[in-house]
Amino acid sequence: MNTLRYPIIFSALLTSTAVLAEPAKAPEEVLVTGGRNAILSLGGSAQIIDEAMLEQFDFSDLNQVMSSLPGVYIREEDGYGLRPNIGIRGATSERSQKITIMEDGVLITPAPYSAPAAYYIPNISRMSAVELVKGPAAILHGPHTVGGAINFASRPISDDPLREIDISYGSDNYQKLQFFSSEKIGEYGYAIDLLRFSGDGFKELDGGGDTGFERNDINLKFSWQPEMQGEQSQTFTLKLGYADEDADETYLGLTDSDFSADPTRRYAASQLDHFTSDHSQVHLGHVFDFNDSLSVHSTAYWNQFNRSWNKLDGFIAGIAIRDVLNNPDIFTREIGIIRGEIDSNGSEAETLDVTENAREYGSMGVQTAVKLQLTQGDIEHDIDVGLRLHQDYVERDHSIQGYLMTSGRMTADGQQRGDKLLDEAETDAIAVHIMDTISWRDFKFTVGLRHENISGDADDFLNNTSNSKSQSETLPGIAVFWQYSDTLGLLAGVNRGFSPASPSAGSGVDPELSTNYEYGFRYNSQNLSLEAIGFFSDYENLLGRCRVSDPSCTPGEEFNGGEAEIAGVEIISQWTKELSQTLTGEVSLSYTYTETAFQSDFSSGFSQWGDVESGDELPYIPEQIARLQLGAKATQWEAFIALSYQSEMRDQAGKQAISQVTHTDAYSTVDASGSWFINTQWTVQLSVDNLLDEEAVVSLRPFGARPNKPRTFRLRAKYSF
Amino acid sequence: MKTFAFGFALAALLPIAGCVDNSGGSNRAVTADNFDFVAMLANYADSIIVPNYESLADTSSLLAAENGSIAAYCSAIGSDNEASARGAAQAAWKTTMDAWQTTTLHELGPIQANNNALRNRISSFARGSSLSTCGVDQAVVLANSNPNFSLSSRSANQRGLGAVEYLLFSDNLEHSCSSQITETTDWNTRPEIERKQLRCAYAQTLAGDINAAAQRVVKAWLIDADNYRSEFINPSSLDTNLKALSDALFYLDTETKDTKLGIPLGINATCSQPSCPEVIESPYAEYSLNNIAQNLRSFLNLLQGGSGLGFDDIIAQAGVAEVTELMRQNTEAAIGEINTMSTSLRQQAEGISNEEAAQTCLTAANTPDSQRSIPACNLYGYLRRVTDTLKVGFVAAVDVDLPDRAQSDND
Repeated sequence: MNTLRYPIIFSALLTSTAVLAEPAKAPEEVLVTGGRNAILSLGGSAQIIDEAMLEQFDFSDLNQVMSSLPGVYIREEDGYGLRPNIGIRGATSERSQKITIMEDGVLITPAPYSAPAAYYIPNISRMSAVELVKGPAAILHGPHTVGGAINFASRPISDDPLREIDISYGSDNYQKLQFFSSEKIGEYGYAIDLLRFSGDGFKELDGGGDTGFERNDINLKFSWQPEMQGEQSQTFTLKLGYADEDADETYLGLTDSDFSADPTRRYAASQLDHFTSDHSQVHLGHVFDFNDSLSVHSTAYWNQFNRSWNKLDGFIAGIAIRDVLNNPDIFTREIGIIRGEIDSNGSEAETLDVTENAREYGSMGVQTAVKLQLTQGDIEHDIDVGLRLHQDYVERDHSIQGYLMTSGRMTADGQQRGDKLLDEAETDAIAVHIMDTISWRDFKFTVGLRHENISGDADDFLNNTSNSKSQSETLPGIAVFWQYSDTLGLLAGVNRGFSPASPSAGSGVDPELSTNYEYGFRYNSQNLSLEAIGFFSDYENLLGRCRVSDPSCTPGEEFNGGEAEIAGVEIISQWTKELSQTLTGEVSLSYTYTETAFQSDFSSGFSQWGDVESGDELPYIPEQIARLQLGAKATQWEAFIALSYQSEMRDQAGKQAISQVTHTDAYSTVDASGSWFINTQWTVQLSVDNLLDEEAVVSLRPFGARPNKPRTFRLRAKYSF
Repeated sequence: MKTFAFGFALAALLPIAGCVDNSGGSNRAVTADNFDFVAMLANYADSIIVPNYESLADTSSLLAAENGSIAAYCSAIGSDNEASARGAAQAAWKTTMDAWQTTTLHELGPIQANNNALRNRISSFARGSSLSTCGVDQAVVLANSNPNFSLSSRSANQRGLGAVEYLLFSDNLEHSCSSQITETTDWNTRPEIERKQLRCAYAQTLAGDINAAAQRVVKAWLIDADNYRSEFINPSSLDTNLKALSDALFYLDTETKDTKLGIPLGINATCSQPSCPEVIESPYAEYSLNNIAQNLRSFLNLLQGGSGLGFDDIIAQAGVAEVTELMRQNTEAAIGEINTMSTSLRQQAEGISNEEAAQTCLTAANTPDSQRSIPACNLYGYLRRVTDTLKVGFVAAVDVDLPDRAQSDND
């Protein structure tokens, strides 16, 4: 149980693993699961992608990383994963707003309570591990427990001096430059992680123009571990981070016919679309180990995120852009203007609305957890008690500017149009949890409770309205794991899922609530690991949240979706075989099957739902996701090839055969990589994403058909010294 | 044993994926999920509404052009060609009237803007708003004598196709005003040829105004002009526009059935006499039945969406295709009834001069397949069958509310 000593905040009492990776370089002090070994024999569902696995392909796109895990749904958007859409076990993937996302155990999305859409997610390139926890395991990590939680573990401070220079160059002028330096000197340690990556983009703007992006990420970590008497020890950690982004990104996709002709086309009307952001963070952590059985883990954190997204939002008046793209043969004039082929006539119906979506977010708080181990005869208790005081806010100022399309260029119409949205929301939240994992013979029983007390206020300065929303929810969870034999373990659990309504939600809007069940088994032998878990999420109320891109609703407005059921099976497996003394082969499989159904009839202003009948399937949840990876590892080289498949997703709730309704494509992509370890200092890696250059409509939102990333090459050199 | 346990555990996972209850939702409501309303409205705009208005604009243009049929008639007055030229002008008026009657079943959007401004310039015929022949007579004089004469200052019931009809078709060249009206004091003493020329000239002016209004309507709809079409098809306004289109069909009930037939025939309670032939539409051209037939044809075309997506497809999607069939059969029966008539509506209405005739008419209206002594009354019966289905089966299948004006029947 030694691995259970280290979690910074929460213990890993409910977690398990089916991932057999390379010997872990996992920084267990920043893992919420406790690491790979800790989750082998525990009662809930969890997976970890460690540093060795991240190195296999060196993806900078979080979507590609997360797609290797079961129970995770990805909706691609820009092809680079700049703003991922990740869902877990049926929780909507829409801007990853229904999952709890943490960095080193600290809530990291811009305003997880007030505006949970994740416009900021840490760059995966500076992480040493990614953890995924689901089911009963998720109640330790709120506020969103309906699907699960993701924790990004940043690279730890190295015990030994370590310097790395990591350079990549690839298709579409993709460039990545990373410098890492870390060591411990006596009681002190530091880590410097400097990252910059960019690309020119793979889309071609009508009339020319940039479609690429650039990201910078600077992170400093300092530690102080003062010498103490006896078995007591403590560590202070200060983490400072700054990240920014400059991207010529858009919400605008294509009509089906234009997509078929050229999926990488971008219409002229998106020529002014531009995203900029900056993110700052200060995290001060403290771990006090009184002895092997008692430790306290505390963190004070402050995050600030500012973003501005100047982007096409349709026409000032008239047809919604999504409707134009869905019906280009009907709205011929409007699509002509969007393409830059027809000049605007000056009417509001033909004036393009380019809205400056400026927002400021803040998130701060303190959290502490006490970890205690007690033994009574042959019963062992691992008790975790935690408290978090949190505050976050969002301020939105969306101002409109009208543009006329003239000869393919957009010129401002010069009119003062004021704000489309001017509001703010803030939330104070207190979260407490207690969990006891009771080990007895071959059984582990886990009993836990989480309580969220949320108080939010929202002001709409355009409509001069205010709203307050208080929510209080107690979320129990229970799980059991039975080590049936040396190789086979059985697990089952049930927990309460919760995702709070926003501060602006009216009294008629309820929080998202579910009862989540899971059961399964875990098989581990010398060469084979296999975990299969069935899950069933019984929603009392599903909550839809309007985004800027949704027509006929106010951004942030929420909609009750009533009862819904989501069920599925997750399988993850790995088989390894020593082919020779110097060569090892491995096969990894991840598979998720999901069924969904609303359980009531209703009409919703939320465009993804619309007129819903009982039995309708939820939108944007694929029935099947699979990933099969083959690998070969030798002393001086390793190579991997991965086949990923995702079935179609319906664009709107419904029960008709998916082939008869608007849907994304089913698609399969093949990624491959080969690494050559020249010596202990030099590594060279060649990666190919989408080797077969599969073209697919991966999303029809926000506006129109969006492509996946075409075949791209990356050549990487890494020097360690 | 362990192998068995492994297999058992794997098998045990399978049922969970089948436990989602997706069995609900058996109602047959027609929604945007199962019906392409946008394509339907686009079909109405592109295949019916805009072509109808373009046809109206084309015909009115021929009527009003400087070298058009009215102009030719004006030039021919007093010549040997006068009669034939007048006949040609009258024929052109009828063609325009046909085109207008076709559009009246989709009165929505620009033509209704500003309190029906454009509509009234083309035709102001409506219940309780008869043509002011005296007003037209005054305008004929003023248009010729007053340099400040402005057509726009004339009230709606002195303009439009009704006024042109009076000027082209009425054989009575005497004015219809009382003696107190100064403008027409000397009218009856003027030479016949002058009166014809003045009336014709004013008909030309009115026709020009009708044409201008029709062109405005077309411009309002055209994609490359004001593009009301997009507003009409806009999915965000789907409910509103579907309701407007549906409401427009009720012209057949309130105007065609009641105003054009029920009141003149005395069936509708608005007429307190055995019959009220004086409120017939197009009395001078005796074109009332043609107008009704045109309304019926237009109704049938709109009901079926021409050859594209239409209300009939919604109704079929709702599982009650017999509603469409019922309306189609009765509409065709009504058109067939008109085709067999040999006397004008005015004559038939004037024939209902006592209670016995009125009762005969009511009987025919209630049982239109029975005797046809006053076939216009049988026609009314068929029309009522159509509109009864419209008010019940249609609104239920299309899931729209009954328009206020069609809420009650004063039969």
